[in-house]
Amino acid sequence: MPPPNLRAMTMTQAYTYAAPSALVDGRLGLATSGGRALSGPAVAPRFFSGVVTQAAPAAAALLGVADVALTRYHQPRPGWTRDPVVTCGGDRLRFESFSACGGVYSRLDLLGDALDGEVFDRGTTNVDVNGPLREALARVGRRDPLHLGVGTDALTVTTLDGAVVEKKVPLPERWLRGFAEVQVIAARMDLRGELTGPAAVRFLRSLPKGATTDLWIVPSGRDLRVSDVHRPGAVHLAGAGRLATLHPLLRFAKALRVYGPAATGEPASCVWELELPGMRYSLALSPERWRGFSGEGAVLDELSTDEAEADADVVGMLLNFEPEVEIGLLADRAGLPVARVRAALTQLGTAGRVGYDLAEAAHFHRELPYDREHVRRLNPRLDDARALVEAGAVQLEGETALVRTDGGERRVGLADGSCTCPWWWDHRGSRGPCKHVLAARIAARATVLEVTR
Amino acid sequence: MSAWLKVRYLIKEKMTKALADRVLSFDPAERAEVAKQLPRYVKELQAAAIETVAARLTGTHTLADANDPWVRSNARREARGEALKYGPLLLIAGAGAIATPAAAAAWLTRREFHHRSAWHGDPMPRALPHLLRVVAARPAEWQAEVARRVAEKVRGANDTAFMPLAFGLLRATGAEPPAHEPLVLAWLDNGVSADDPLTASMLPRIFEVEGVGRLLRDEQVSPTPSPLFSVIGQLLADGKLTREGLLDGCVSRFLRGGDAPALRFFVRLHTMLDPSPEASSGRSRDYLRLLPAAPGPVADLALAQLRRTGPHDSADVAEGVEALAFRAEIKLARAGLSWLDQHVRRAPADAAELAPALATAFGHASYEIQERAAKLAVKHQAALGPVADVLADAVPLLPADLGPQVSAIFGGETAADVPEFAVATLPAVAAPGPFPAPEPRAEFWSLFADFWYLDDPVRIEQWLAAFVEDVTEDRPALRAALRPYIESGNASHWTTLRCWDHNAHWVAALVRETVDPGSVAAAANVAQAVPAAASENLMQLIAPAVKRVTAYVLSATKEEAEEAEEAEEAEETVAEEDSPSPLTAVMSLAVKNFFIPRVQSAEHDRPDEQSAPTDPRLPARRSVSAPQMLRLRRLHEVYTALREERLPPVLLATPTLVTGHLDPTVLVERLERCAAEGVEPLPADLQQALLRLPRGARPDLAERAAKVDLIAAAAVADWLAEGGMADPETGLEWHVEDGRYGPIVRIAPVLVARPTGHRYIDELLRHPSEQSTHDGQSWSLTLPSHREVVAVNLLRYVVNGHSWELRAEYIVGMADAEGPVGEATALVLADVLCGKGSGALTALLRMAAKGELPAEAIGRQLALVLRHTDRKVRPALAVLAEAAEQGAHEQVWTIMRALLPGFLPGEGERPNVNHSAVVALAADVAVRTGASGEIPEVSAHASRGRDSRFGRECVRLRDQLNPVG
Repeated sequence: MPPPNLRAMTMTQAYTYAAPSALVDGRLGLATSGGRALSGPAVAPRFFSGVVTQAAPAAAALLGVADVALTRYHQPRPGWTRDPVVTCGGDRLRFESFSACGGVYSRLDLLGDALDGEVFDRGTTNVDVNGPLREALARVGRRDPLHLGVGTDALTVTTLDGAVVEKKVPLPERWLRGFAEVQVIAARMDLRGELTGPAAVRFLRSLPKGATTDLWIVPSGRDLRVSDVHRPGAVHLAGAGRLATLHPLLRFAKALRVYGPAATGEPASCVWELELPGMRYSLALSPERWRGFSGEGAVLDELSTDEAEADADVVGMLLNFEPEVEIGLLADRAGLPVARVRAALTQLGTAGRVGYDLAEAAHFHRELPYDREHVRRLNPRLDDARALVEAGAVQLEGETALVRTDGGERRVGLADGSCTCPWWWDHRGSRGPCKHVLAARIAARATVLEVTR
Repeated sequence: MSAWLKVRYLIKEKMTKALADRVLSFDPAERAEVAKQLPRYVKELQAAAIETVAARLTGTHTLADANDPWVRSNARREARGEALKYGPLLLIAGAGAIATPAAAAAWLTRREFHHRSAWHGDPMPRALPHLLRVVAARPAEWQAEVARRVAEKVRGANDTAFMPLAFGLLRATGAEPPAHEPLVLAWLDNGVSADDPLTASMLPRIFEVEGVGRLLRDEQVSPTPSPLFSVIGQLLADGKLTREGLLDGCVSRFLRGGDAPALRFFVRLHTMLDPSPEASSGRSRDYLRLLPAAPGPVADLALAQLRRTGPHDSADVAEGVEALAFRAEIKLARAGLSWLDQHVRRAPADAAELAPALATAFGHASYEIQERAAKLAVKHQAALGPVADVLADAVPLLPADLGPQVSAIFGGETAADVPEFAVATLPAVAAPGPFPAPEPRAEFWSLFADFWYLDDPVRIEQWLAAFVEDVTEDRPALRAALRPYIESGNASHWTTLRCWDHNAHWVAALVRETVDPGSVAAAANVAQAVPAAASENLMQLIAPAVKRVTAYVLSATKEEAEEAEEAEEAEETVAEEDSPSPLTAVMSLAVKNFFIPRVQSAEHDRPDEQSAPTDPRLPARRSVSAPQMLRLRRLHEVYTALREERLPPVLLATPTLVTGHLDPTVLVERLERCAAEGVEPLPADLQQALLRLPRGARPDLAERAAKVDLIAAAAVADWLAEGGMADPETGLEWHVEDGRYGPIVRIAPVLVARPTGHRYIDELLRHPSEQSTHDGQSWSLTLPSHREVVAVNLLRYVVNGHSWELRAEYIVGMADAEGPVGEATALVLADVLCGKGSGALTALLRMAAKGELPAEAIGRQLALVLRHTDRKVRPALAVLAEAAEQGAHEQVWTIMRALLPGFLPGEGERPNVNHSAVVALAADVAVRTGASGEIPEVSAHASRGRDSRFGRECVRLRDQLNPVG
């Protein structure tokens, strides 16, 4: 096995579309690439065809999703654009994208109110976004009718010359891992503040323009205020410039909601959600501009159990591209306790198989349309931990464990998940457990299993 | 001679033309043979080069013997250079011989045949015509395919490696350039000319490729068009480009989005094209759709076009006006309202459709727009009557003075007269927590696998306290805990360094000495041999030379000259000799890095300071910051005491509070413990302990200390009885001089301390420190009871110093310290107020809550900072507003009051948006605090009328302060 730093860190995704996406005469045809539908894997699945009742906000928000995919917020430079992912969950369409820097995730939820048409199948796929399409979307005004087809729509394609579109873009591991991890982080957040109409506009416009500004958003009465220090209930906003894609949508905004985890005063992720007519546009930002979501380690607690993996397989089969996963129902169907279903959903989130919708406070099923094997093996820290266990480096001593590494011995407290390694000293669990703690937990679990047998 | 041998000969001899001629005469068999031999030949060349280099570098004969990675990488680099030498020739041979286009393109784009970037000696430009001659002889499809594949390898604008080749091939073969975005960037970067055959196909692509806007953002049309604009103008004149095509390109580029800098070029191009009203009217829908979200300059341009075309239908006008009224830019919002006004005058029946736009303008952030919108509502009340509810709903968005005008006609609730302030009380300052204990001990020892962690001022205190305690109590256990560091070879070489100027160096020595007594001396002997044994003689020998050069370097600046004076009695032998020469310059570096530390270390041996311990490993006093020097002295004395087995059972100076303070009771207890063991505490430790005592006399404890039978106890007793040392005289002077590029600002710190008789305390307070600590927190941890001294020492970071180093924790540390406050504290706070994300707010609030904020001085210094430096007022306003919000409104008002006279525009200066913002905040806070008392400067501006926002805010403030006037 090659040393970890030489492991292939990037794979390449080839998208093939039957035709470029286009908007012709008010008919928006989004070309789909290989994905997974309820009916099974599909080359160019067809999900939806119908009218978008709110044309202008839908077009502007779609552009927002495309813009995030196009941008590298930290150390900007032109590069690859990965196409957005669309999930059809029956009554709604969700468009997701992830910035090239791995620190910004955007999602547009087109809800039932904004859609009037026919659903052909449920599932997830990539959709082609190209220059002429962006141009056409920018031309959509309030009064224009907009027909949307996700997947091959005979009408749309016949107007074009039928050229096949092929794109090849690299998908770095950390990008993919971040895309998956953001769901798990969002699931731990709560609503911290809400502003309506003009107040939302005024607040977002009053934020510092500097791309690099870091600040705290403090709820104050019915308003939100900006502060440079942490206060109780505050939400950390790192890199205010990363909210840029919200601004063109402000003219449609009905409300702005800010979500964050229970604040500790440490930099943390946040989610900004704009309520638009019939749809929601949300952005999740990583704790610091230079931090992608990939290294946050939020998923590792639940991950290290084999049980979670087995449960995930069971739960995964029951998801059916539900737009809202009801945990109780799922627990009944799977015959598992609710806690284990939650752990299984987290596990599925890491593999990119569920997303989390904060407005509904519920998971939704989607499968990242990327190589599944690759998505599954996305946790180097866990890999390292397993390697430590396999190498017999873990020695359990009651409530603590001794882990031998090249850098010396580390003592792990099993109960509180503490470790004596410098990494833990620096992060204190804020970026998930270190590999030594993971290794100790895996070893401890193995021992328990031994004993029970 | 076979074809290959001939080709090989020609390559080796670098006969480019002859090679091309020979290649052109190949028959198919020859071609195949050369194609087969070429790759082998390259390998051969490289292998030979590697051998030669390896032999040269190592004295051995093959690379296999040279296992040194450095030798190997050097060899590879040179091998690459070998291929580069013959690069153009290899390309010519390959272009003529290789059969398939794919293989040929791969050969032509091998990076080792090309220089990374173009340079004047590059042989490629001279060889290129021959290469193209050879390519031209190949089949047309082959040529086109190769040209396309090579072009696809171009990586971007700065990839100059084979740009000439790629573009040469495209031009020569006439092949259609592939749709490869970096190619467009490279083509633009290469310089565009009107007669370039590629221009026709490449120029239209600039509208589609990401990154073009950024690349071309400095191209300009006026005063003289830059080359690209000239070329475009010429092509337009020649009819090779159409105005229509370019306009379409610009508009589609605008629609695709981007920020202002990325679209600047296209805005200029659009302006240059100056479309006719007919041309614009065809695109009026596109321009309309650009109004809501495009960057300001693009929206400006779109609006200008829309104004020229028209009339527009009422729905379009409504869409346009609403988009403009929503824009944050005042100029655009104003234009929207003008448009609305004109349209309603022309077609009153359309007013209902425009009402939502007017309602949007009611909620605009600018008072000017709100006022204008309210006036328009009143003006067109008849036409707007049917949609009164739309406007009534938006009335609450208007400010208190405008709301009633509108609500009187249309109804609706007006906003409260005075914005309500939630009166906040200042958050109480929690008592400082205990200094973190190095517990649990076993875990603590395993933490610092890397000793660099201990350069942190808190960690080193913890570490030292734990070390001294454990080494005297249970040395075998400590030895066991520390042994892994030695075994892992951690920092083994540090103890052989000449100068131990980091905590980590001394810690490494302490650890080695503990685990393996005597091992450091042995390790350090090499370095010490010179200074310790032979240094006396050696120094005497080289003294005259060293002194001469040293004095030259030392006198380089005034301050250092003073230092030289102080350090050297033999000064008089110096000055008149040697004028600076290049050699001196080089020498000076050597002297600065080597001799000065030596000489200054020797300085310690002067008779009057004989009592002070000296160690050649201690750095020169002024080569590190003063707190660091004190820390190193403490490390040094612990190290020496450890070797001499006279360590006290406990260190005196370890703080008991996070602020760095030391509880006097604890200090006396520690003294008693030392006395019980019969060990005298260490001097630097004692003096640091004294500095950490809280302010004020403690006669009770002084008495208790006096009973302890130690020399140190007497010093502590004196200190506690007198309430510590006298506060040093502190302050600062602003020096502003006219410089070539604007004013040069220098802040001269003032620090004059009366001698205390404690050597290290006096050393610490002798001058304001000139060296950065890189851990400004050290200052407040070292002097927690003398805040102004801390501030004076932080002055080197402010204004045009290294303000980025002034981190939040330093400022908060300063705020949490005790002692008088003065101008230095005020200036440091004023400076960080204008910074970003620093601890200004926390410091402000805590000092305000303790009643220690020098608010007036802050206001005064802030005015100076804003007037004489390029610091911005906006961040300061944000922090001040926040502080007022959190209960410090009284203090913020005092700051604003002191700031205004110096900050407001003087004679001949025009008020700008920043002035308005400052007066607005001042007025808000004045209202909140119910302040009164006229500020003449404000009244003067207020008397000039309320036409502008600035005028209005001044009136508002004046009326609050001086209700009668």
